[in-house]
Order: sequence, then structure tokens, then C-alpha cells
Amino acid sequence: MTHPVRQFPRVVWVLAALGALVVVTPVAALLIETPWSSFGDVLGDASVRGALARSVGVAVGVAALSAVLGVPLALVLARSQRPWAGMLRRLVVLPLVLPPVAGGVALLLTVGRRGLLGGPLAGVGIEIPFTIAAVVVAQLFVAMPFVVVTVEAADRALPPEPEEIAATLGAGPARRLRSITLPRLGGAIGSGVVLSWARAMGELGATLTLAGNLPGRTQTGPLLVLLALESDPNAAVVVSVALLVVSVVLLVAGRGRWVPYIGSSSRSRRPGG
Amino acid sequence: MAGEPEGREVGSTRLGWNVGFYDAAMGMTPLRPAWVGPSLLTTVALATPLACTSGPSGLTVGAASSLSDLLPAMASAAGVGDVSWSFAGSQTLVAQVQAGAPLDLVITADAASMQRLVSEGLVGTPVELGEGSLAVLIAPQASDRGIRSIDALTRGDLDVVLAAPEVPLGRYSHDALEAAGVAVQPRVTVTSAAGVTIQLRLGEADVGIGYASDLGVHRTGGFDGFEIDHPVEYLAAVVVDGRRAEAERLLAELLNDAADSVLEAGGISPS
Repeated sequence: MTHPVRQFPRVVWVLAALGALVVVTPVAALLIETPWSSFGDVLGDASVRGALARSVGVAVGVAALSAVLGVPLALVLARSQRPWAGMLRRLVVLPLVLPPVAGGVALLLTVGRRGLLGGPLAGVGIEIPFTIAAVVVAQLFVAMPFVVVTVEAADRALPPEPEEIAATLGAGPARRLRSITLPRLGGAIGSGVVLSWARAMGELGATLTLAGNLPGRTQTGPLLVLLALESDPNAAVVVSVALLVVSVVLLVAGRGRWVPYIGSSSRSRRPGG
Repeated sequence: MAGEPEGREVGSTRLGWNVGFYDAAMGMTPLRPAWVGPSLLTTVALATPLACTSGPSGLTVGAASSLSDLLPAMASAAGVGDVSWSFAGSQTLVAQVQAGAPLDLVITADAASMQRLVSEGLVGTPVELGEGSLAVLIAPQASDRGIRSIDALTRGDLDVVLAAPEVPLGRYSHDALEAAGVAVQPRVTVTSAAGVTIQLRLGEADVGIGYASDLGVHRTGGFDGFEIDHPVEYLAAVVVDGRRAEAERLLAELLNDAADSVLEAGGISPS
């Protein structure tokens, strides 16, 4: 007998299958159309490998920064009762709905040489646009909200009792955060970090606008694909597939290690399997 | 966004070799290294390694994506060394310059985009880099469908791809169709020149309007089709906030004979 947790009305199975097709079919089409014979040639190009490595490296850094800055922000937003928290909560998701190119323009207007902070930054010798730092800033802007939204929702869903009890037992704020809050949010933080990493890997519009498309310096995998579409569509497909493969390998490798709650096939609270 | 009828009136001053005139126009101190001289002398001088290393270095040029093959080839033919190319759609380039991106030289695929920057005082006087042409591009699967004139785009049995009027190619296509008195209902609308070629390659459309540089006569793997008599202006201008003197030198080099021959081979007539 199938365990009750795996029994659904038939419509759930049908919709689940459709949902899977939405994701799987385009990937299959891409793989079928891939000119595998030119894989070696395209990936033999140092600038292609450089762009892929830059994508992976920056996305990992962005995911880490998203966690460092996003988790505290999520906690404050989830628990603060001040009116500004409500406002900020709405603002924080803006990068998710803003067209990325517009996000890039907004960032340029912030740190560009005509920007809000551009002058003061230039005064101390920091120029961000069209550098690798711009790639990080652009991707952080679009990717961090995934951590904030995921962690905030999870924190709201958690009952407050364990922390209240810990407080009555004399645990200070730091101890409660370390021993109770963060461990309980581990799964959500893991999901948020993976989502933000994935978003950063695929980022195009904000990066192009703020960081330019400079080969060897700010050109990421997706920017290379954009440019290759112009001159060499085969190379564009190959680089896309390479991005896909690298992403899958990293997700599988990271499973159960750095992101303990993501992608593992069995979950202890689910019986069976 | 669309519109700007006066956009086509942008003065496309041809720099030629009259660097002094250009300096005067820019209100800048004439800057005349020995190698920015008559074209013959320049060509000879640039052929020497010494000249290569003395070229403007570390400049960042924002240029229209449709030039992504040609410009680096032109620069290397002209012996220009250390230049970073950042290719994007012309409308993205405009947004970047408006928002203060650290570009030194900007090259757009149309006058309307450049005019926006000129009118805001963000760039110097534009210089015409070259003049390309529009073309009717025919997808491989439609090569035997008897498409011989722009009027064919109205045929009910052909799927057409056009660029949106917000991007340079779309503006040109719109103007060309209007000039030909042809009203076309595109099946697919895209937002870049690459969009047109992709839709044709994937068989989503049988025919479309693109740049003549994508015709098979100008590049390997190019399309069947024919040119439409409608000019495509590639304009370059020095960004006011950038390294102006060096950018002007770079621009002068991109206009030399060696670079021009690369441009011409790519289907764009140096003006």
C-alpha cells in the first residue's frame, strides 16, 4: 500500500506532470539542439572559460553576501512592529519585479559618476561601475531578496515559544539567535541561498547595465551568451549548456553539504522511502 | 520612447583626417601626436610595434552589439592596443551614458539614440563611423519562396520578423517600410538585430528586415536576401565625462584606412 502522504487526488498528479514538462522540455530541446561536436572548440577558448568561472565565482560570493546581509534583514522585518518595517518589507521585493535593466540603471544612478554616492566614492578612489565589484553589486541587488523573502516567511511561520522559554531560562539575545533561531531557520536559509545563487548565475540585465560587457573583466556566462547570439549562435548554445551543466554539478555537489536541506531526496519527517 | 523625428538630422560630421577641426569643434586643446597625421603616414606609423604601445590605452568603449565582430577587428587592423569593448543594445548604451557609466567613447547603430545623448550634453559632436544598409533577410527554409522585393513582406503565406520600433533596427525597418509604402503585420517582434537572425534561423519566421552585414555576402553563415536602399548610420561620440583627449585619438584611429577596409569587408561603407 502506498503511504497516505503519497496519496493525492488524480488531478495533482496530472498538474505535477504538466509542471515538470514546463521545466524539462525546454532543457531537453536545448540539449538535443546542442552541437556537441563544437563543445571542445568553444570551451577551449580562454575567454569562454573565464566568463564561466567568473559567473560561478561571483554567484557564490553573491549567495554568501546575500546570507550575511539578507538573514539579519529578514529577521528584523519579520519581527519588528514599527511602521517602517512594513514599508521596507514591500521595498525589499522590488528587485524581484523591477526589469533587471531598470535595476541596473537605478544602481548606476547610485554609484555611477553622476550617481548619488558616485561622487563621494570617487573622492576616496573607489569606482564601482564596469568593474568586477559592479558585477557583485548588480547581482546582489537582484539575488538577495530571495534570501530575505524565504527566511522572513519561514521565521513568521515558526512558533515563538522555544525562544521565549530560552529567554526565561536566562539565554541572552546572542545565545538565542545562535542556538535556536538560526538552527530552526536552517532549511529556509539554505533554500534562500540556493535561489539567490541561481538567480545570480543567470543574471543578465542589471549586470550588463552596471558592469558592462567587458571580456576578461566583467563578462559573465550569460553576457557571453548574449554577445554570441549576435555572431555565433552555436557558441551561444554551447555556453548555455555549459552554464547549465556547471550549475547542476554544483547543486548536486553542494547537496547535503553546504546546503543541508536542499535537494536531498529523503526527509526524516516523511515516513517511508 | 519611439518617435523623435528630428533624430535623423544629427550632424554626422565626418572627421576624416582633419583632427584640428575636430578639436576645435570639441572646444579642446589640439592634441596632435605625430601619428595622427595624414592617412598614409598614420598607416605606416601604426604598422610599427612602437606605435601600437603608444596608442590610447585602457579606454572603455560602449558600442552597439551589431558591431561586436567588426569593431575589435577594426581596432586590431588599426593597431590600437588596450581597448575594452562593452557591447550592448544602443538603447542600453544610452541609459548607461545617461546614468554615468564610465565609458569614454560610445558608438550607436542609429542617430536617434545618439541624438538623445547630444541633446543632454553628455557626448561631443557625433562622427559618422560608417554607413551600412538594411536588408531583407530570408530564412534558409524560405529561400525558394520567391522573395525578391520588400513588397513580399505583405504576402499572407510568409511569416515576418521585425525589430520593435524602440530599438535602432526597428526604427530603420519602420522607416524603410513606410518609405516603400508597405504595411506589414509581423508574426514575431524582437528587440535586437540578433533577435531577427535567431528567429529566422530557428524557423519561427520566413523573412525579416535586418542589417545588410548579416547577408551571406558579408559574413560566413549569413543569410540569403537583398539590400534595401535605406541607410544605417553608425555614429561615434566622445563621452564628455570620459577621457576625452584619448577617446578622440582612438576615434581618429578607428577612422583610418586599415580600419576602414575591415568595415567595408563587413558590409558597411566607411563614409
